[in-house]
Amino acid sequence: MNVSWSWLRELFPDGALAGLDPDRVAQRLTLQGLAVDEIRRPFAELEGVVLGRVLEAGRHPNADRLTLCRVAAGDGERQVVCGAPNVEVGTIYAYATEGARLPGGREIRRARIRGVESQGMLCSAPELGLEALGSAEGIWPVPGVGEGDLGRDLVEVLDLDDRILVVDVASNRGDLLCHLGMAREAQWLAGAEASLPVRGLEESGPRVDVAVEVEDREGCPAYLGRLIRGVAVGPSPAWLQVRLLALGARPVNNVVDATNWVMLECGQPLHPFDAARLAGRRIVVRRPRPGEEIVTLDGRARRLDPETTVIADGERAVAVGGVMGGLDSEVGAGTSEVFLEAAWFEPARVARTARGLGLRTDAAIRFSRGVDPAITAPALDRAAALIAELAGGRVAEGRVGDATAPAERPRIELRTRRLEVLVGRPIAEEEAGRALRSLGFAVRAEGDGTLVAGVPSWRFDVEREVDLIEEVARTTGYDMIPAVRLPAPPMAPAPGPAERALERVREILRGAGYDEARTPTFVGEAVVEAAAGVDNLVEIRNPISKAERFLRPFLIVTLAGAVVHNLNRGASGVRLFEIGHAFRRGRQGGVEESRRVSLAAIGPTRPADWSRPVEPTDFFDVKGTIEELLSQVGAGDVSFAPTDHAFLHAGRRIGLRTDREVGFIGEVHPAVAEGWGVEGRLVVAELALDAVTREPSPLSLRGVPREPAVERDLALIVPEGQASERVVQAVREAGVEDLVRIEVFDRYRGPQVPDGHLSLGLRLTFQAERTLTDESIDARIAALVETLGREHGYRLR
Amino acid sequence: MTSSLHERLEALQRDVERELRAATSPDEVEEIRVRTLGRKGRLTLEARSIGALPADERPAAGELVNRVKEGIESVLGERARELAGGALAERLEAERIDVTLPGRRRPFGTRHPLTIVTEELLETFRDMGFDVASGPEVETVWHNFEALNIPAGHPAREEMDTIYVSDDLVLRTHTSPVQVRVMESGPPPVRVVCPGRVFRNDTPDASHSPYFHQIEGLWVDEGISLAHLKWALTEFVHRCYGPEVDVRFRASYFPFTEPSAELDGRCMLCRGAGCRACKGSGWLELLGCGMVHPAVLEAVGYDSERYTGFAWGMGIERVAMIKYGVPDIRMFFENDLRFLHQFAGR
Repeated sequence: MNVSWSWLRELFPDGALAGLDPDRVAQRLTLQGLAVDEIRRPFAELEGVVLGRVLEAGRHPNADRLTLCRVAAGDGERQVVCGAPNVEVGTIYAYATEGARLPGGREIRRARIRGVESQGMLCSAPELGLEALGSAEGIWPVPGVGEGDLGRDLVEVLDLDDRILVVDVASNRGDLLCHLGMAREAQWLAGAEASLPVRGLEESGPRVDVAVEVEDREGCPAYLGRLIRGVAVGPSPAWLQVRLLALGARPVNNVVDATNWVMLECGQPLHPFDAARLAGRRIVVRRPRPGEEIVTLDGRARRLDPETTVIADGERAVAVGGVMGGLDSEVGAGTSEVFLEAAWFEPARVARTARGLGLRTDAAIRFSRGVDPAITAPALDRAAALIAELAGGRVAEGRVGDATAPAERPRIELRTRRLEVLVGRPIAEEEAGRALRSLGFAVRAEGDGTLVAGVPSWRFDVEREVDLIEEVARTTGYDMIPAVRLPAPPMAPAPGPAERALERVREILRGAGYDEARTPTFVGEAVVEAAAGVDNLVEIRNPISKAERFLRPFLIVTLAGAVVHNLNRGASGVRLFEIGHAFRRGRQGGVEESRRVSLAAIGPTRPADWSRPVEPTDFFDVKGTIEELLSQVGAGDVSFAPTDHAFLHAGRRIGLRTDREVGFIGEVHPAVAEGWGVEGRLVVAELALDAVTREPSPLSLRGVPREPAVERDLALIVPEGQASERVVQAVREAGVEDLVRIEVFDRYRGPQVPDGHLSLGLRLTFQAERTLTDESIDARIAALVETLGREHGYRLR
Repeated sequence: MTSSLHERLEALQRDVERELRAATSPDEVEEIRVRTLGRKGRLTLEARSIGALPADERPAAGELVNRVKEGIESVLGERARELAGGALAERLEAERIDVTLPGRRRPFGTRHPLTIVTEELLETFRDMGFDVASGPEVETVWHNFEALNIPAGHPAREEMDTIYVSDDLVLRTHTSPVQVRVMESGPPPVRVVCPGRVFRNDTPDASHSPYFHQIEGLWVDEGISLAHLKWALTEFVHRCYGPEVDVRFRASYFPFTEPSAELDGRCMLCRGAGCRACKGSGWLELLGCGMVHPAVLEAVGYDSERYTGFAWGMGIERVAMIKYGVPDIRMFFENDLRFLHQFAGR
């Protein structure tokens, strides 16, 4: 909401805001909850420009296109050479006197123009910084000024030196969308009461002959109208246009400007119809007929939703109630009779209609937040009087319409004890009462520390005691409240197990050289299609862009995006991890959400250095990291199992299981990687965090062996394609005494190994409480080799 | 006789000393030792010749030989140690490496700036007595709106630019539903902070992202007031942004708190003079806060006459942007390594 400082002052008794400047008021309003984002000068600075009437205009002796004007500017006459084609004798213009300063630093001096002296300049609107009020093609005839204004400073006459306070108004405070509402908020600071200036209304001529019927009472509880006959539609006086402009409203004509003026003054949106265009001289407020359309003021044909409240004449819709008028009945140059509407529309219905039509008009914003129902009739009268004043018409006798009495506003008790509990400082009954009264509440003290406050008609946001407490607290000032230390809890909380586990996962992955990433939650169809086989996607109803309308089913999908971003910017190796949420459609339309950790790695395992060649990241590098992670967080019950994720390389992928699949490790399928824009082998892993982040089980230490362990290496010829895990399992199942560890230390294919086979090197570690002799170990190995040969066909190399 | 023995021994000692000076390795020293003190060494032979002397001269001669022997042994040992030391030094010299070459590093990864800030905030609030809780990102309309005093048709629903999954499910627009979940799970006192990702249907630009992170806090107990809120959040600002930062609380509106406030800090970039970051006002909006609305307490079955509480929420990206001077919110989600690596060691 843009607030004119001048207008605000005009609503207070003379001198009430004396001693206060816009900065001080803005500061107070800001603390009170009306954040003033900016204080703006609406117009460029001007100096030395006065109003002057052209008394004579003659040809310049030496130039066809120049006019020689005699200008009256209060204190005598001047000779001015003017180049504009539109000089008219008798018209009052903005006259820049000698020494005047115009916007952009332009200075006006006495000059000789083609041999003739010119004492200043007649100005076009753009030359004054008022582009919106006139073109640069000619000088600007200042509307609405008279003989008494000649010689007066333009800045003063038009109030060009005003300041505009740009106020951020909360969505529940529709009452603040006008100057009267803003003035009420300043009453506490001013210590005086604001009020609307008196605007007398004279009625004359026959009674109103437009009939009003309200069918849709639910959508329009109050509809009032007046008729103004004999208006002359034209430009508004300059001072009014300038003020509208300063507030960001576009001046249109005197009738429309008058309605905007009253709306900005007291918050009531009004709509003028060209009464001659109202078929049957009737206004019917109703719901739209099936398929009914209207062409709105902006020239667009719009189909009307059944929830709309329509203003119709005897035949068709002439306005979308509370939102925008129709083009057909618009007031224009040819209008002589104006039917003026002031109504109260149901806020939720207006909000819905405006949203549906995409029309956030000034009227719709105000109606959807709630307009003071008590101001509807007075606002109608004020606007009718202003139209008569500006456009010279006669206001017909009487208001027509149909208005149900607005619901009674509640009376609410405020206990000062309760006030103290919430605010944390005692506020006396008297002070609280004064604060509420300054905002327009009718307050009665019960004498027992309780105030009863009658809520004013414009405050829809105040419903219960706590609302009053807020009013008192913010008006008397949050800065008056002390800061009181919180009572300390008996013990400062330590991070819980889940948090600690999360922290460890993060540290372990950092230790393995992975940078932490945070990637988008949304993924597009293309990304998902590339990862064929991902089903049960969660789709958003109203995505930011069509391209990204799914929630990521795995983090890896978006993490890969971060990898690509870096590869495209010249990174040679990228290792990223992310902890975040992923989503799948669950049973019964629900969403299954899981907190996961994901890894993606490509390029060298570490930066190149002077001493060693780099190694490319491969499946086992990432698998090793995951194995280490699992052992570090004590997730002993997670095991490896086959997986079938189609976006992983079919020959280079493995799943992680507990009682269900909780993750996977794999190389991204080359076709998918290509779709994602990745060149090279991208190895990824992902793990549901709830599967691994658990408290470690209590540790019971085993003894430290006294005897040294004995190691033996065994090279077995096994069929190619045999999973090494199977071979290790076979050795374990042979049940060799004192065998405590089996490690794969070598894989070899070569001359001594027959085709279709490979040699697997196993390191066996024996450990016992007694000394193990070579002979006894030899015997066990021999027995083991015999068993492996017999049962599995493995033999020694 | 004695005198000639004496002279011979002296000559012997001088010879040995001269030879030792000429020796260049421990092996040569050993050779000299054998030639002098070995079984057929010169001194050994002289010692044997003592037996041929008259009995009364023998003791003096024996003593003399022994003294010379000790002297020779001493210079031999000294020279041997000297030469051995030199050889070691030579080996060390031969094994010299360029220790100024860089070490073989396996660089650690960096924490994401949003993680750094979140952890810092959690630590501050933990110190004040708050627990940490989290909740789902896909929320029910009840938890995200209804329970927070934002009924259907409330303008705040529209303003929040909600992203819908279905009629009843939304991507949470704030972390406040976690508070509701915590209160639903047990009676007061409640002291909890909830960090997490939230969503708005905003077109991305330098200061907007459809997904971002918030941290939200709640303290509900008997006798909690705005005065407590002022203390806790002023304390927070001083720990997070520095003890010199002035704060101000200004009234504001949120459906789920009343009275509501916004907390501003004196702009840290221009120190209040007015700059682009604070839009010339000298103040930066840091967080929204207020006393928990009684309707919210009632929605979870708390007695709103007996219990009061305060709550606040803030954007984590905003904190990071202010603290580190990050100019564009989208940088947090691009994960450019050249950006991330600047947070190494934090």
